[in-house]
Amino acid sequence: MATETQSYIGKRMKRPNAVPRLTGFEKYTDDIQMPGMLHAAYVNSTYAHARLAGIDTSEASAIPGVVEVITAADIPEYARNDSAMDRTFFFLASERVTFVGQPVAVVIATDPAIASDAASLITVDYEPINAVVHGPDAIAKEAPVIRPERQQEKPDQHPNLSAETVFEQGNVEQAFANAAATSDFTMTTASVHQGYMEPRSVTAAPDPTGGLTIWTATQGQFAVRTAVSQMLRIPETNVRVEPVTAGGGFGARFMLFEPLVGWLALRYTKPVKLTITRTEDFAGTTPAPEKVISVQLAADSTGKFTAVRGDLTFNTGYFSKSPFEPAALMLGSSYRIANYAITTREVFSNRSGTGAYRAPGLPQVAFALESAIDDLAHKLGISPLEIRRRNAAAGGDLMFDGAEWQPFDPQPLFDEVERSPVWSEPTGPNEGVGIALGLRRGFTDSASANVRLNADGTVQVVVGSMDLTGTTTGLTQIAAEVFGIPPEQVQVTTANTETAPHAGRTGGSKILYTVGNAVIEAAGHARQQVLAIAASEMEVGTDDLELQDDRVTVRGAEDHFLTLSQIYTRSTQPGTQYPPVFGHGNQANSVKAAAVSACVARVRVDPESGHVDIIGMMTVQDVGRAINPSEVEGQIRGGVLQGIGIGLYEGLIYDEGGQLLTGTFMDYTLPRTVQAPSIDVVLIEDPSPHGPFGARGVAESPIIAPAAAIGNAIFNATGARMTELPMTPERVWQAIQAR
Amino acid sequence: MYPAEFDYHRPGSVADAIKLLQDNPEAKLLAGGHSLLPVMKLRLAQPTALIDISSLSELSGVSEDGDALVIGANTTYHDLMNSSVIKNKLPVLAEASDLVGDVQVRNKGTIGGAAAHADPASDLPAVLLALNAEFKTVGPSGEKTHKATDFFVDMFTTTLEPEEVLTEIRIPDVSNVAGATYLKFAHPASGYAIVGIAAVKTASGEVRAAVTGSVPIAVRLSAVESEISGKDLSDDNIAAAAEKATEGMDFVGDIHASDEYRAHLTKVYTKRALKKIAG
Repeated sequence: MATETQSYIGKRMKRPNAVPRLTGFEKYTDDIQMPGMLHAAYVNSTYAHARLAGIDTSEASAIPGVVEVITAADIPEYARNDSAMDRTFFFLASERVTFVGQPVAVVIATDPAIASDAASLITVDYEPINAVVHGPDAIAKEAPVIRPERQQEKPDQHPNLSAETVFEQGNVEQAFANAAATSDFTMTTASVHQGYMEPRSVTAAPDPTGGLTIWTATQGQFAVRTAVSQMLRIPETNVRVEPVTAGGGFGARFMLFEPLVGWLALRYTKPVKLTITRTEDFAGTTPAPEKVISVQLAADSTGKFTAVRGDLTFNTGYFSKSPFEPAALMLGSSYRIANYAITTREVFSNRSGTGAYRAPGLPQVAFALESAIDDLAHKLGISPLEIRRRNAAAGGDLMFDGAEWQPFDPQPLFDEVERSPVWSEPTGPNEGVGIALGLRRGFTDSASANVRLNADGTVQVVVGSMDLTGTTTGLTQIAAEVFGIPPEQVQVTTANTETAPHAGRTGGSKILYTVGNAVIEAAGHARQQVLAIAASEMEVGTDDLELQDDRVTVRGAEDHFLTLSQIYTRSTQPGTQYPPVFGHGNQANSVKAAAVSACVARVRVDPESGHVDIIGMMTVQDVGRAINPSEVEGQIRGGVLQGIGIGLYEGLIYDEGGQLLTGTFMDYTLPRTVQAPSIDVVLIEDPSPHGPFGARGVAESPIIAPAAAIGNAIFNATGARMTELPMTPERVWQAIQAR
Repeated sequence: MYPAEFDYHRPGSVADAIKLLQDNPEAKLLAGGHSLLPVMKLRLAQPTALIDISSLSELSGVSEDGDALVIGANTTYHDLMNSSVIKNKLPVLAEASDLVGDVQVRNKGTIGGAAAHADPASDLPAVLLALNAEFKTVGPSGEKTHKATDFFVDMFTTTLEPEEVLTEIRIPDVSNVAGATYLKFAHPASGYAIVGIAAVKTASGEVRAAVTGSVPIAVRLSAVESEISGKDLSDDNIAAAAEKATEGMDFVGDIHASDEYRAHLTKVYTKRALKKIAG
């Protein structure tokens, strides 16, 4: 690539929005205060499965400051929909509760503390039913039925089976019969929470014309508007979503109770805020599902993979949102395997729903597959790096769903692994090294943007996408590069649903990949308009003009120029012949670029306690083009650390009755800086043909491989193979005992 | 996370605090607040009143009294880590304090608060047991002194009466301490001890050890002590003594570690702690 001609792409620019966030100035949803605002608090089920026999709200209602206590009896018929598959469309339980933390009532008060006090005084009469909390148990014959309505809909299958999909090709039986080595594991992986720092919060305010404004930190504001409009039966034009800065999203933060809060605001014709507690967030939102993944892998004597069998069970809880299909696809699509038979299913249980968490399902699937690969390498006496070199898929290969991988080449990543001291240095006593591959097919969306000139000659970029990860910085650099002015003169704004050009949801590693292209087009369009005005005003051809810094200059005549501010004036003054500078870009980038990374972990295991110390960590990723290397490296380190959390620490733990036992950060171990090792990041820039300046999605790939790499490193150090996530010290100690 | 409603008092003296305790039977004393306030926010504790003794200067500070160290109940972990007297005479208290919680907890949490709260996974109780600490309490009937082995009764239970205030902790015979350590296997989220072992060697040849975290309340490892008593701290003797660490003990398993694993770690960390004081 002709990168040397680029002025701002590839530069380590600081985030424009870093200072407000780091100084506490940034406003989050719970910071919103309005005159007359009411505060809501949930009353949540304390049973995982029970019939609701009655709710006594009298004591709570009598507290001064309590406006009303709402139960299912008070909500509209359309909101009393037990068959809803998404909590957004499920206000309150009416006849049955199906998970601990399911809302059964909501208190409205003039003060949040009063609402909490009142909520604690509501007594609910539960008639308990047997609960089932683990995936395989849920589809056992005697399991309690989670969704009775499904029995009528699908009488031929187990009522707790949500869906099942098979990917099949070739002759798997024969391949296993002829194999030189096989591997066979069943991995159990815990449900993990996205662990964003800001608990979920929504504020809604009505206006006198029947309109409704919703303030929410969402990854998809347009989707929220549609959901609220559909749920409350009001036109979309009456719903405005104001996207608020999110304190972390990671795939979880789309929508949860926006329609309910909107309905409350309309009911009282006052602003209403509902902020849930950390414990409510752990118990009732959309964590990544618990999974049981069986994998069998066969190879010939050269280490070439010949077949894979897989059986995956995703425990989706009460609501159906698990990534059971796309995740199962990666139980082998990252390698060239001719014969495969993969069955994947989603099952209902007495837990809250599940949802997306950064590279949904893939860290756990990689843990299973990459452990099996490691095992085969060990059995065949081939280096774990070499066996991956020989089998890794590349651009042009087919995935298990028949789609072709877009261009990518994993071999340069393996070269970088070989060069890394984390991989190559000798290991000391109780030390081990492990590797895993993190491959993901990116998502796509259509996207639009507009670019206009401000009076002072700066450039305003308006988009509809939420910035979760620093995309504002990248889009700023893209606009600056295309327009030809320094990034300091560019401001990127996310507008609300009323004014923003459409963008898809922030997720699937695709905002820079899709909105970036729209910004390129819009900035180019605006630049052409600027040059046309300048050419006309200075009576030269546009080819004779240069746009740099704050002005358009006639080439070779430095004194002959117009500033961007002057161009603004001349295109906006009364009676002007020039239209205002207004560039637009609208793109449909439908090509799903591949995002590939490799991760190496180096551990030291205390064999007496099972404690695992990560003494080296390295991730190499093909990012296509690093628009801002600092942002890219930071995003990769964050992903690796979350992968370490999934590998060693994190898991929502329920007792057999379905009580959540990890309801705070005292019990749920989200890795913090003390647990964060130094992480080497190596960037490879093999441009994607369709991304802006060759960029590929960055966000999801780096979370995929770390847990698997750590598991393989533990095996290398101890000879003990880990089959459960998280790999807690006790489990490591047990595995060492069982060797 | 709003706690239930409560009254707030800030007495000017220990005597006033005792009076407030007498007048408010459902009240709790507030020192650093780092154990109490989180459970109040979760509404697991709902005291009707908080009696804030955190600013009572008569409860603060570290001083020497002959061969004893006297530590005011309000002394924070941060104070212990930075006290020159502690660092010179009894560094194990500074080292153990450095392992407690995080910076915020160490800045606010107090030695007296931790002892009175008697969390089964708290660090300092094990150290205080191994140091033969004495606990001075003041109540309506006057002053009392308790030995550490008497003070800690059970999970979240001490000999402290509802109307009494723990005022100071006294470590006797400091010059006789020839070696002391505290080692812990911490839970990564809370920082609390899954297992913590304190061990002390005296100039007169006595070895004392105590465990916290794996058992209902911090307790002396008496079987270990009698096994190693009168013997040199050779690797073999230490290994034999550490094997006794589970003798007569009840281990408490939970979601973070099973009872079997805690028992095992108790042996491992007893061995390591004894090796450390063996030098």
